[in-house]
Amino acid sequence: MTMKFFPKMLKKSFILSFLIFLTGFSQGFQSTADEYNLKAAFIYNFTRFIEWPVSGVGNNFIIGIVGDSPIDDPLAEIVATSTVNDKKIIITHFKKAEEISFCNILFIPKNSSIPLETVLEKAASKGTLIVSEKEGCGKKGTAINFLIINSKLKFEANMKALNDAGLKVSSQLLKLAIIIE
Amino acid sequence: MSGVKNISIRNKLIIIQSATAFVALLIACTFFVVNDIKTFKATSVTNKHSIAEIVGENSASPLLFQDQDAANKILSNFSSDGSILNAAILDKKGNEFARYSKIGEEAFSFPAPEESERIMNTFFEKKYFVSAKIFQNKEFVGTVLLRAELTALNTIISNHIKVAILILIGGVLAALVISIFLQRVITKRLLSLVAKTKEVAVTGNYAIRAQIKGNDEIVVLAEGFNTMLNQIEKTKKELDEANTGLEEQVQQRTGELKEYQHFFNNSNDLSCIANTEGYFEIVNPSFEKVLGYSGNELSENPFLNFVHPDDIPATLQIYEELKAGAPVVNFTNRYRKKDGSYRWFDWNATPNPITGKLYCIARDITERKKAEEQLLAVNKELEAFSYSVSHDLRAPLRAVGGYAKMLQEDYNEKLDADGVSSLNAIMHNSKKMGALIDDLLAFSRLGRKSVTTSEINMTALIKSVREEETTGNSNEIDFTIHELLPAKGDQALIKQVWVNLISNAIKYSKHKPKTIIEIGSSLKDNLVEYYVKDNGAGFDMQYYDKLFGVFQRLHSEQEFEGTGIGLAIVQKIINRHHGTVWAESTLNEGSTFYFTLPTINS
Repeated sequence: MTMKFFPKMLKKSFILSFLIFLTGFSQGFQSTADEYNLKAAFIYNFTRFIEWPVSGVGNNFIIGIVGDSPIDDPLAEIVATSTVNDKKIIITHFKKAEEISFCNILFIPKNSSIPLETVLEKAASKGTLIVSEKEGCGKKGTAINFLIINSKLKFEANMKALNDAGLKVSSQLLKLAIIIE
Repeated sequence: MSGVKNISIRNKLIIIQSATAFVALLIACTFFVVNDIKTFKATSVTNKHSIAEIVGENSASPLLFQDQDAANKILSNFSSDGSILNAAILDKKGNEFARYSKIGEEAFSFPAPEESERIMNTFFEKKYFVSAKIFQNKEFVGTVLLRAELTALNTIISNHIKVAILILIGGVLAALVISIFLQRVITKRLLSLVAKTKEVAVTGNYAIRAQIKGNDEIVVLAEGFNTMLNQIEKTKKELDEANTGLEEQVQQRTGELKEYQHFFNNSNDLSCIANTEGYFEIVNPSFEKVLGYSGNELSENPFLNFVHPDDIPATLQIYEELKAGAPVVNFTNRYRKKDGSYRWFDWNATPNPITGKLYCIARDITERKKAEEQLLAVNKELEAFSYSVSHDLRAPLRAVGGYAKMLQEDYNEKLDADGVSSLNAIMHNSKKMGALIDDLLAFSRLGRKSVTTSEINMTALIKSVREEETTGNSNEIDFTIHELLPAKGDQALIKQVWVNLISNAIKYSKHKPKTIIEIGSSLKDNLVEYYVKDNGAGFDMQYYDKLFGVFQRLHSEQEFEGTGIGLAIVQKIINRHHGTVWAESTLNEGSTFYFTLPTINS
């Protein structure tokens, strides 16, 4: 098809990347690592379509993680090379509920030991985008909740939670989301 | 081109105006059509770019969140725009993320971004390609590609051309109608001028004038036409007058010429015009009559061909003199007749320095020449005869004289007075006859003697003659001798002339108490004229014819002795010097004798 337009040198790399593409999206997730690579990328991409009322602490844009999660490594990898509105991205881990302080994005892993209600109490309506990955969390009040539908990563958006947090979300993002009123 | 020239100005103006309108409209329509098409194209292209950019903006989030369904949904919106045939969204690595094809259109595979750059924003295989890069927060996330056709363009072009043709036809028709009306302003007056011109040409009536109102070039033309007619009319009038005068002059001149021609053609003399190349140009009919050659024969050959060989050097010399501008009088030479015999011509000729031609008249003097020759021969015969006669007479005369003298010496006493008287008469007459014979011999000898000319000092010559003639003369002589001019002649013969004239003057003055003789000279027409004037007996001019005749005497022997041969000798000598001798006299009052001789320069 497109082969004739390519020099032979590029042919191999093209086929390789195409295979990766197919394995990544069409065939579902092969491993937990793939899933969290994608979730880390999604979390970073959210920053492109959302405006925060408080843009950060000093020159830092803070992403908090409640407890431990396989997302740590891929997120750290993205954060190392990226910024949000020219602010450095810092990742903070909260082991206990008491530790939870202000952050721009707060990720709640599905196996979190801290009850959701506690976390929401701590972080909701304070300019923080709360992201969860467990079915039903969206309805419970997290702003964004990851879902796997037909082996594809999708997400829910809780409009009330977003509004309460004072976050302005681009329609471009919302048109991809499963909206929860 | 001649076709264009033959079209009338009226039609030319219409054609020019219509053509101008046509060209102007054509240019305008072409400009607007081309401009509209360009604008349409540009708008379409801009439009496609805008669409691509909008799609790009909307595709950023689906790309970032790997939502192919959403991307395909965005592209499916193109179904409302029939001009977009194919579309695709590529991710930032260049992989196809979403695609669209118009219903009924085959799927199109866009080349990879690096390659597609070449055909982007251009028409490729009649389709227009547009690409728009998708950025999200200044980060490149993918590309939108469109393949569109400008279907509406062809329709618009054909519509525009149709409208342009309608405008052209309408415009040209309008121009035609307007020019047909407007050209009348120019052509009506121009045509009236043309009509006037034709009228003048046909009728030749130069009194016609064009009357055209206005203040433009046509009026200037009409005024020029009128001025020209004025001049032509004036010139024609003058010309007619001049022609009439000229005709009269021509008739007059022709008449004169005919008269001269009459002279030329009917003269017995031979008239001709010759050129300086040695040919006759025109000869009159007398030439043919006399020589027998036709005019052509004469003028085709150098005239020297007809001259007697002996006369050629003299003729050439005269010819050169004529060419140098000197007229020729009484030149004689011989011309050959067609039968081979010769005729003597006596020529008078004048050169014309303006025409460079020689105008010659010849008189046929052959008969006169013959008579002269005969006369000369007779004269010679006569001279020979008279010489021999006088010579032969001397011997018997000497015998008569001798015997008479013997009678006187031996028989004088025996003779009576009558006898002596008779004897004396015999002796006297024989002596006189001897003198007569001597004079006659001297006279006839003159005819045979050759003349040798040289310069003569007349004053010196007269001096010696005067001394010789006055010695032993009792009568007192009063000589008045003026200074005498020298002349050319034979010294001995000229001395004889002077001796004869002076002795005559003395002899015929002897009955006068005092002899007065005057001698003088003067220069007349290249000749020196001498005279000897006396106050003697003179003679009656009635008998002048006999004055220079041999043995002719106007006085008796008793009055003045002499043989009557002296003046005959004078005349003969002067004639032999090509001079003339004549006399004037009044009886009893004296005579004057004149003679001429050539000057020393001739």
